[in-house]
Amino acid sequence: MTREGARAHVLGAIKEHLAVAHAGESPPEASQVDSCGVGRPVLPDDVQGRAVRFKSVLESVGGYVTIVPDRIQAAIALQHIVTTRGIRRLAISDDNLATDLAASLSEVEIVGADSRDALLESDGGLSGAQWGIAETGSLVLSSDNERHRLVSLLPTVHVALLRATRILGGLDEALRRVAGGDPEALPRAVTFVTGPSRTADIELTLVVGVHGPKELHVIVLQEELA
Amino acid sequence: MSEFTPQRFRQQADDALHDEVLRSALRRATGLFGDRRKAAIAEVPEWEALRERGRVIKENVLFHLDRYLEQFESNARRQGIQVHWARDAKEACDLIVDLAASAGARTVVKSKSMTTEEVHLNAALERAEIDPVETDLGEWIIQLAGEVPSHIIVPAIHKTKAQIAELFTEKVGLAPTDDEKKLTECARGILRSCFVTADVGISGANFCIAETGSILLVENEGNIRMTTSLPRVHIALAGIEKVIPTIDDLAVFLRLLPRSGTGQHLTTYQSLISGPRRTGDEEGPEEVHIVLLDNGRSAMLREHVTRQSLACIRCGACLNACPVYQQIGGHAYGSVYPGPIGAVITPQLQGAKKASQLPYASSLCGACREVCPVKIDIPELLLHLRSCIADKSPVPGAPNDIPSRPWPERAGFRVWAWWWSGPKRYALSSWIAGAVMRRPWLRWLLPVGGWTASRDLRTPATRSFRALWRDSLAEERDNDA
Ligand code: SF4
Repeated sequence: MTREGARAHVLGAIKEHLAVAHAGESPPEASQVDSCGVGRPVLPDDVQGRAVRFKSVLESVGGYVTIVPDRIQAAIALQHIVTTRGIRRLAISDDNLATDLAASLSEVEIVGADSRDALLESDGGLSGAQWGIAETGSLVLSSDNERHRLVSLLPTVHVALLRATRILGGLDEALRRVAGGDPEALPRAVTFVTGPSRTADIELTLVVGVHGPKELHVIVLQEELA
Repeated sequence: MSEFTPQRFRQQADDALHDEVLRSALRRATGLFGDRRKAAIAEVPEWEALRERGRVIKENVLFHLDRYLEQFESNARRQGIQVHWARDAKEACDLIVDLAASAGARTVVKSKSMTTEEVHLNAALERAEIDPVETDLGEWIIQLAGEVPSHIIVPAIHKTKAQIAELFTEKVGLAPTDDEKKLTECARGILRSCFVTADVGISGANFCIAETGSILLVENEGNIRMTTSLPRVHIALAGIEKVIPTIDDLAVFLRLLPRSGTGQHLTTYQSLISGPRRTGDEEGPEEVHIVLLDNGRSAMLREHVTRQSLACIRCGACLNACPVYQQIGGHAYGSVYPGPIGAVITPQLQGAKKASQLPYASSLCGACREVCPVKIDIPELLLHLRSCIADKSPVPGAPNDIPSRPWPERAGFRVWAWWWSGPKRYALSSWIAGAVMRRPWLRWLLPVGGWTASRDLRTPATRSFRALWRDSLAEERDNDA
């Protein structure tokens, strides 16, 4: 049978069996209530409160979060991470803020995220983040905004820069924001990151850094950028 | 390696019960996941409402599955994803092997997918001289050992650290160690080079979103992100039941799934993939394919009771909660899908003849239904399948292949049903049973050897409840008078 035949066959079978169901059952009541917020915890409704919650949730799963007031402090925090973690080669995404801050770093080689080989040999990766989620302590990285997929995955340490005003409340709000009111035009890849890569596959003992980064650092910038 | 099959359930269960290493690992794992799940759902005051929401979404989507699949397909195509359909396991394997071969693949990296195991994709790839490499740490361990997973979240739960270390020494030459960090580091290094050289990445899909044409994958390790972003071609295999209507619905399932599975509020990574790279500048695969698999699922849609089976989001909570699974683990079931959900899905996918023992691998305690995030009534399904098997009526999805019970047994049950349906006859039989059982020297008359081999038979009271009830009613009447 042709491939097109398989499609017709599967859809035909589904329709045939459902016809029996439709004849004998009344349709399940479609819930009209918009309840994607069900299960959302009570969340702070101010920027500072959300940043604090974001930090505490992400740190509970092994992430490191530094909240800084401005760019200067962000650069200092970044330099501190680079120095204390012994990062010698830092790959950066094409995010503007990341590019700017990386320029101020010393004693580290900066490489672009466009070469896979360079990425594989980098011990640090610096990206932006389009949103944060206070409910879950997650970063949301979108391929429409920056080339984030490998820079946040291949190096041993991932550092992300997040603006405090970009921290949303619930998971549902973040998903809506990603869809951006136009679900038919989603970015190619949206990645949600909540902590370092982890496994418990050997005797249920937690080990971090199995495939992805061993450490995740987030620098939360309170200053509203121009 | 011995083959596990559902036909040999009893023997396999018996073997498992004699495997102390396995049983202590199972106690730890199921206990730990059970506790973590409890703690995680306690954080969500609206947990019950959330489950109900999950159930309703699934019920709706399954009732109109054709519509949602068509919507998913057209949106995915618009985004540049190539959508394929497969009626059965063979068709799915042929398709994927063809796609991999035309991408010139010698090695494919795979992230954990039960659906690829259901269709035995690895064997099909190997026949075509394509080397499939499992990249989830647990799955990789199992693949090195030539075994099959025993738990849907922790595939290598039946292996101790010492056994894994030995395996690594033997297969990849790692110096002996008892440090799980070193073992993990070793796997990281070897699998990295596979990710970089593989031409094709194969994954499953946790959810296919109809309104956007996207797929969503959840994980903790990062191997799914590698699989879906490094190789030139990404192929995802998904059962037709994986579709959900909207991105809003996704929030509901993302709040339900990790809490139920590992007790996390969210797994480390979610990848929402909506197509291949468009410009030379972007990252990610040049081709993204989705294969939608039927393989017996469409027939489950016919009746409400079996349709529920398709709502499963494969969280594993029912395994951890099941007193049978807790004792015997996953191998005994002889199926990709073990535990309570496996006991209801396997007979429907593989045929009731092959898996006729599985619906009986339950005490019907209902723990699975209690924990299921989408409220699947597994005990109801187990009873339904038992009655299909007993009546020899067809199990949906599966060929009608159940052998009849021997005629004396069927005749016996018919006589019994008739005998107990009359109150006089029922009273007579309970009187006889009582009379016999109160005289131990007569007990051998009762055909209950199997029952009393490991427990005592209770001696019935001298007077039956019905007799006492009658007397008390009579007494009341006398008092009233
Ligand atoms: S049946 Fe329910 S509890 Fe069991 S794996 Fe599926 S969703 Fe989870």
